[in-house]
Amino acid sequence: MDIYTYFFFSYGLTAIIAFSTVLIILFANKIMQAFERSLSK
Amino acid sequence: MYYDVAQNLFPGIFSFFVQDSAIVYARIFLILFGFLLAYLGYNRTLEPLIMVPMGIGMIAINSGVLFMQGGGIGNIFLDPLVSDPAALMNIMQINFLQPIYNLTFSNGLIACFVFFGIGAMSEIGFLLARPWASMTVAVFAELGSFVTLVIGYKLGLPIGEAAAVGTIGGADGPMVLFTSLMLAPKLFVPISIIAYLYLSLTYAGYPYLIKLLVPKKYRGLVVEIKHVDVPKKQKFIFTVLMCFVLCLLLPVAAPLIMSFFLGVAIREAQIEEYQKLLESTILYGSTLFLGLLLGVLCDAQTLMNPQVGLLVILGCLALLVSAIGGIIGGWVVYLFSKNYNPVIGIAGVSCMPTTAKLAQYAAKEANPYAMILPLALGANISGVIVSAITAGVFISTVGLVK
Repeated sequence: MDIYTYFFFSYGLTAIIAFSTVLIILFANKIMQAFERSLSK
Repeated sequence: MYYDVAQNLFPGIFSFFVQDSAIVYARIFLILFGFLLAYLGYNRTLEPLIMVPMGIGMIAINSGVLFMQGGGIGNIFLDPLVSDPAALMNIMQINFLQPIYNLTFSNGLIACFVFFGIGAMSEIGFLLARPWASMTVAVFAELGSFVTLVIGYKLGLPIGEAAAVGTIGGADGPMVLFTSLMLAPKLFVPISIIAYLYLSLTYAGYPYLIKLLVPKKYRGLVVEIKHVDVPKKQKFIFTVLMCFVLCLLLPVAAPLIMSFFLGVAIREAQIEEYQKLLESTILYGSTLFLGLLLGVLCDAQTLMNPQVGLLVILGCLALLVSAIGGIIGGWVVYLFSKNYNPVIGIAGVSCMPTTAKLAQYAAKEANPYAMILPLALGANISGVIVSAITAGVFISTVGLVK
């Protein structure tokens, strides 16, 4: 991979991982509820 | 005979007369520079927590020089270049800072300790209030790392070293330390020193950059901050999940990621005994030794490496481009949502909490009623997370460049 392709690849990968953490934030509530349900069973 | 006696009595002074003139000038410069850093730390122009011990360490290492057995010139602080296990065990009996250097600094443990403390101080609720906006400015504010990687590589640095110096753009000292240790072990001493020096200079330079890129009318924008009351339990589960996901995706950065989120988890779980320990003893103890070790590593001979000049320029460029990227990110969010102050973009540069405070000062200077600190702290925390992601991406994928 040349350096310019790597620039876009690595920056893009960083952005994807970063924004996927936002999705985790948004779904944290639902995940928490599912977690609590599974604990109460 | 008198000369020999005097030389044995005052080796620090006499070593100036026997060393190479370039080294002598460098020693004198670094002693004066140490004074300057300690003074600027004292009067709070630069970050005192790092600069006072660093300046004093720099003075001591360049003045406390003596003639060693065998005729060489050295010191009894530490030798960063010893790697042979037998020699290392031997030198640990002599150099008083050698155990701290080898057992905490050169393996990245001290960076993890600092991250424990930063995590314990981070209110994750600020990030949860505006997660998309915070993460967007943080991603933009990482621009300097990637641009510097390309420029450094094009200027002839090996890709690992270009990536390590690029991480200065994340403005996250422990992260730079960790990445340079993994990717550029030969240069990690000068890269770390430059990173910490520049992080302190952000205090001085970024306010001007903000004024240049954001007109007063926009700097003083009043942002409506909706108070999002996130339950502690939700924040705790989010923290544990984030730790799991990021460690799973980026195992090479897992020590730092785990350290940060453990600090956050302890805060959210309200384990006050641990929180106090991390926020005060661990964080300040580590910062003291970090500053002292960085100063002691500013030995004239170590810094006479011809690559240091290039690293200085690249480090400066990385922080400058990241700051510009962050402010562009702030404008992007402003254009989409309107209820955002573009100045917050500077806080995406994760020099926590310095850049968040800078953003608040800039806004308050333009409009005394502008309160943006909670959002700026959210961007700051996102910046820490994104710089950890960047470090992990660099360490695990930089080998793809041919």
